[in-house]
Amino acid sequence: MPAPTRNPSSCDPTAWPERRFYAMGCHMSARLAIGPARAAAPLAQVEALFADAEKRLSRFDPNSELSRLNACPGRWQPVSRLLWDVLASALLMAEETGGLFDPTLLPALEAAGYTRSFEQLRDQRMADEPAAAGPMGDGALPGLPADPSPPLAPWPGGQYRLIRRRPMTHKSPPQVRLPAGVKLDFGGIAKGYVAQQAVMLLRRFGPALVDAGGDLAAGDAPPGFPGWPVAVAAPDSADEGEGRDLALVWLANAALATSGTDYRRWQWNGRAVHHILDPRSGQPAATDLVAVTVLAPTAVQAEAWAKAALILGQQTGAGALAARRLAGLLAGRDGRVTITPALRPWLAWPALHDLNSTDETDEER
Amino acid sequence: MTRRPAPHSYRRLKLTLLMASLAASLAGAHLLAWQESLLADASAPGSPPPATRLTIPAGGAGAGEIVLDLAPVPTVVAPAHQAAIRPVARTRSSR
Repeated sequence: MPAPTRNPSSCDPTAWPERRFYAMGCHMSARLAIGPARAAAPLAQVEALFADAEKRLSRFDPNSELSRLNACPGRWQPVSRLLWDVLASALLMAEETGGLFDPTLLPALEAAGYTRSFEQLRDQRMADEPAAAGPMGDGALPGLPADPSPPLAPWPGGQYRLIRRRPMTHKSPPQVRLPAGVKLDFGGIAKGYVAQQAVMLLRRFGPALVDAGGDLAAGDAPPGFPGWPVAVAAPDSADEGEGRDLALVWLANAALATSGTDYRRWQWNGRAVHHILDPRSGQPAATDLVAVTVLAPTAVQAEAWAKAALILGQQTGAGALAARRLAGLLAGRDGRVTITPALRPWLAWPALHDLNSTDETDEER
Repeated sequence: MTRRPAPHSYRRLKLTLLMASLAASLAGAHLLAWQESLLADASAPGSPPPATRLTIPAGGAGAGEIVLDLAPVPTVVAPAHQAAIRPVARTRSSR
């Protein structure tokens, strides 16, 4: 991995030192607006932070702390501070979103075919079908039984409320007990939580920005700028380089997260599915949105509400965000882009009149 | 010994100053008009942003209230500025 070598420039935030790495199934980076020599060590610490989190929280690793917890329902299990805090954040978001964000959907995800990391699913598919399209391609995944059985029975939502927790005491670590049939998957919440921790670590050294696979957490703005200039990529746009962007945001002391169905999708039992499940049904969300981006004080909150709004759909989702004064951008399947009023002050572009708005005053008129 | 300038030199100087002042005023007026036209183009709606209504006491017991309707301050981004900003990161669904 490249060490930061570029000299900082107050005129170009892309010149600030950056460290890129791969963790938790995603391409990540961390950037510090200080000199390269001073930035090297703290940026390396960020990579180590994510590596440690992945070892503890990956559901694809049978030896991870999360996997061991999921394997022992009905029993009190000691957990690390990290898992405890991530679980606490997830449960808080579940309550805040009325259960639309639900960390107990793992059985439904596995029943929909998401039993391995998406990279493993994609790599196996490409090895077996070299002429097939990329991760968004069509066609059944090889090696899976063509089971014509009907979809899952109705999903018992709200099971996250059955999880029991014992906080740490001077004699014992924190403990968690999962009820039978309940398994945890933190999804983007874990990435967002660790990204936030990374920003807190880097903040002591200078203005920082962490990109955890598209979930962005920012500290102070870099010198000479109102924030870190970050773009909201258009769904299905290219991964690298100057892809199509829907907006540019000045991000400082806040987080930006996107939930979408444009990438992690596949064929299962003859139908197209994606990884955003509706907790009310346990099925892939039937939504008229392809992606939702939310800007919030923390990455955890941004991630949870992006997912919730995506599930709700363009009109209801935009209304839910606007009602809570949350900043959001919703990209519909019909190509329409909607923003909530709270996002406006953060926008570098587009100009305000270019966008549809869910401004309450406009609706009243 | 310093010679006083001739009267016609004063007149010429005054005329020059007057013409320069007129030219500067005209140029300034044109510049303001051009800026306003840019502003008008950039903020051509759609629907205009909502006004802000303030209700404040008029002062004195029983003096009633004053209602002010404040027009919003337009916020626009000049197209040239947009092209100069390069993002350092992009948010997108996880990959």
